[in-house]
Amino acid sequence: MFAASNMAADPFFEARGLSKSFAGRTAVRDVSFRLDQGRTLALVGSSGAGKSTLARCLALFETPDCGKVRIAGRAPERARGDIQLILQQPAASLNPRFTVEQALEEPLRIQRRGTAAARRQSVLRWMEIVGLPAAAAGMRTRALSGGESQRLAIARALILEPKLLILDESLSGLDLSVRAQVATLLLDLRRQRSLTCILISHDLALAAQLADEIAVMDAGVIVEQAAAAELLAAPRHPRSRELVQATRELSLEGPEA
Amino acid sequence: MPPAPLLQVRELSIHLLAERQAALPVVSDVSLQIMPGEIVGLFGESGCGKTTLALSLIGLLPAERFRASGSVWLRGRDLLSLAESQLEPIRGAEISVVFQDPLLALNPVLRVRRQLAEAGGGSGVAAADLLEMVGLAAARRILDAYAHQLSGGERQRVALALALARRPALVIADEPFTALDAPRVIELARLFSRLKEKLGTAFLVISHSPGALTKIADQVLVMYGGRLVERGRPLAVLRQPLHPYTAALMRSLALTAIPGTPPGLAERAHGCPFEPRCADRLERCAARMPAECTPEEQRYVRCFKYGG
Repeated sequence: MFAASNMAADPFFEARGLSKSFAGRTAVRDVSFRLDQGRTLALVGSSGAGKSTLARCLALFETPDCGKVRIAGRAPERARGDIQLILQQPAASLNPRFTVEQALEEPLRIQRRGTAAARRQSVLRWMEIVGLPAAAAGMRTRALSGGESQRLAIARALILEPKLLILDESLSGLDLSVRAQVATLLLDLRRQRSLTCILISHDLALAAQLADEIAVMDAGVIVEQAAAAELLAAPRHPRSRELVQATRELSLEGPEA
Repeated sequence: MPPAPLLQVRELSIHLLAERQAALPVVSDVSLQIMPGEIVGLFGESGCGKTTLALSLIGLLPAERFRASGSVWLRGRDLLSLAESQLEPIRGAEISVVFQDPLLALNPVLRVRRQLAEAGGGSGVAAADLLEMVGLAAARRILDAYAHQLSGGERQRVALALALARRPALVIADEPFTALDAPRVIELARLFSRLKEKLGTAFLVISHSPGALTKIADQVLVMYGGRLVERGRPLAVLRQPLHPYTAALMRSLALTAIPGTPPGLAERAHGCPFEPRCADRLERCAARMPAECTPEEQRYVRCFKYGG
């Protein structure tokens, strides 16, 4: 079933047999997958499929009932910031009274990384990388637009140099033109830094643009995983077929509606 | 003679009143019409004035904060000239709204059955029939449920049933497709089309999902910076856009970003709001907004490339 790219002994990232229930209701059931360094996997499926619970388990925000996660040959540690999770509404996780600079320095300070001067250098460098103007350093985070908040969230996640970045519907609420800007930023960062990403989205069209591999989730289970192009061209599971067919129907390139 | 429009908006402008400074333009000089039983898509990005425009159509903008000029004609009455007491009986009965978040529309402490009965106001359609109309089969379970016991999709359909309870001629739906995956978008689009056929209801659907709009809309309106920049048949407008903004927006679907950011309310001048970001801009674009012109049949655009 898994047409994974690399079945070698030591994948960069591996989830094995993850399950999670809440009050007797199974949200995630026996999920396993592997991901090579520098690759992006998209987890797609409708709301309630278990995508966000899986993301929270992978990011160690939630303890799975069973199963294991390994990254670069060992168990990830939340305290080290090995895995960073960005949510749909990053503004909700930012202190509105912080300035952009404070918000960006906070994770470094909590981790006690570098001297104050080194941290400030790092903050300015990351603002530049994600395309936030240096003049925004003193702005309150509550004054940022949706796109700027998302750029800040990306910088805040990457400033700790995590091994894995998870984006949970982080592009969904954005306007089309802003989404294009943030998506382009992500693609650039991946190319330049060989970033490993898991992208969670209900939007297969977007997943296909950003991911190397796509895993389709339904009722807590990964029902199919394949290279993005392969899954779009020849989906096997009925749920994947439904998703691909509907996405094609909504694409503007299709035949006359 | 062509049938009379259900709703006719003429030169509608809406200003946000601000303390100690000039009023800010949110919607500028918008004219449009909706025919009975027509589905009109309103396409544009956050802050372009879509929701303000829609709320003004049923007098839901607080009068102490907004000033509207122009006219909004519904069946022979200018809604902008009506007092609150005259608008109240129109809401729900002639025009209703389905908001983006159905949780906000549903009463958390009343069962669905009671809410549907109240929305119908006695004269309306039976609750179970309303649910069937919006494609909710297991009517009994849903009628007895509270909002929190329903799935997201069920809540959205119940909110739609509430909006339809008194058989209004026009339903305004604000971002109904957001957060749905493609199969659910198609299901909901089919439901809108079915309701239009069966009940003759007209819909104004605010959405930034071009795929969904091409499925259901008879007409698409594109807004930017408070202005209506282009309108026409959805496939024509979204596949072969005429206005440079529509074209740039459609390219951003393929991840080609539009440089710059939309103008804030205070930065809107007399010219075309897209001028600062437009690759095709001419000198006169900053001076004034061109008039609407018709370069092709059934296509309307406000851009100097085509005249105006």
